[in-house]
Amino acid sequence: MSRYDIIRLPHITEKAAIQKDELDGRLVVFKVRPEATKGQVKAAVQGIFDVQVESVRTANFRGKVKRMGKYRGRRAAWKKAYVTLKPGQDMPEFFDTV
Amino acid sequence: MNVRTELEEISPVKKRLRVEVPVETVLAEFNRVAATYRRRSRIAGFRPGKAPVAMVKRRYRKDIRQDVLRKLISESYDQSIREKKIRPLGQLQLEQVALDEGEPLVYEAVVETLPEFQVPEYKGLEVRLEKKAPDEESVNQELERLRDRHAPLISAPDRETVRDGDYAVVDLLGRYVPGEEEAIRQENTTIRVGDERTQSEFNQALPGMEIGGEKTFAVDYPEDYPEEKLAGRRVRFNLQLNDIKVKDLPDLNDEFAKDLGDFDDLDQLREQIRQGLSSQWQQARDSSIRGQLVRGLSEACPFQVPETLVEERIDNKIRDIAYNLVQQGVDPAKAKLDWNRIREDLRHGAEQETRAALILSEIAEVEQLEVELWEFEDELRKTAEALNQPVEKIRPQFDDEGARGGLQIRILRRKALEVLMEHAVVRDE
Repeated sequence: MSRYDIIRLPHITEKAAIQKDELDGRLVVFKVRPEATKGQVKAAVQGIFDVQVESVRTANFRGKVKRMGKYRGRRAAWKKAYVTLKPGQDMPEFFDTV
Repeated sequence: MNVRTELEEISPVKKRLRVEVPVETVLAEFNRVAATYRRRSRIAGFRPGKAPVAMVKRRYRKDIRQDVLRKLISESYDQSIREKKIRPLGQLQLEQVALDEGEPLVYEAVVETLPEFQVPEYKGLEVRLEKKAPDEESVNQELERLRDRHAPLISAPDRETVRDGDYAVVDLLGRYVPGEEEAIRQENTTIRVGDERTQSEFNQALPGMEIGGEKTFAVDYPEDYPEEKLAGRRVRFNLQLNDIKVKDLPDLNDEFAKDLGDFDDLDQLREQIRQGLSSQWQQARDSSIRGQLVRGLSEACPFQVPETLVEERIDNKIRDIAYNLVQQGVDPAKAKLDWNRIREDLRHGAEQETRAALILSEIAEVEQLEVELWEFEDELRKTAEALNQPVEKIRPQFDDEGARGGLQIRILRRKALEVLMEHAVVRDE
């Protein structure tokens, strides 16, 4: 499985921005494939962005149930990965791509 | 704002400004503008107005740059022209703008300014009278013209052959050559023999003809002949002379005067003609004097005139021409006119007028002329008349400082020109 199948997109929110500032910019948050392990995420980020990762924390999100008239459906579940970089590591800004 | 300005003289009326705004000012402005954008920002993942400044700056880069540029240029430009004490004309023209966050803003602007000049001696300018005042002789000539115009045509008594100046009554049949197709057929039409508006072939063919006589001859119509079906064609005419008519000049007496209209007798008619000629002459004289004065001023003081003002004046003239065309029912867009050519033809006169206008403004200042309220009202009324609109409708347009000033300048220049006319030395020739 390719590293690009693991990392889906950067998760850019106010909350992520605040935490990033607290860590002097060493934190990046991604939406990742729910089945991915911390180890896979670490390897994928190091591979894609050419940086050294210190640690990865993850959280699972179940998809919300949404209904459209009498039909009921569920949004896809996803995993959020907080990736902390080792001190001195640089990360591209994702602002332009969002 | 701490602006550095360099001024380069391209010509007496054209200057190049090189303006530099320091980095700190540029940065501060970028931040200020970015902050206003941030406040309005709605970016997914953030509450409205809470997105990071850096993100806002990137996302709205172009807009922010535009705003910063507009603000900085208008402020620094104002400051520069105040510092260098120049009064630019027309719109600001920017050249070579360089702006980047973290760099000083540098730009060049080419501006035209009012020229500096010495007011030439303007009292006692010489003007020539081009036409003599009307005298009894011109009144008599005018009377003769009236007589001629009101003379009925009668068959010439005891005349058999046509002479120059006669009116020939003829039947016409014209056929195209080649083709033999009928081009024109007229019966008992009147042709003035020897008149320059008559086709020359007729003028040659008719004299010497006798009543009842016939003649055949060809006429080549020029390409620009007004009647389309004849223009550029060769037509062979068959012509038969039916009658010879001459003008029966009425006697110059009280009867004639009464027939012309509201006159009791010939003396009254003469008086009317005299007055008409005299006021015509006065108008022509005044406008000729004005023209000569304008030309004289312009030549006495040949400074360079700002192109902007000349172009503006040409524009106005073009607009007048177009307006007149419309009045005559011609669509200016469709009329085959070479507008660029017309512009060039107008340029010289426009330049002289502009120069004279600038000088007249100065003279108005020297003479300490002022615009009275009634003069302003008068001008407003005339403007309204020219636009064919009620005064009250156009008045609000002149509440504006600039428009009001423009009208006042016009009045002042006219008053200055009147001063010139008063003091002009009129030479009879």
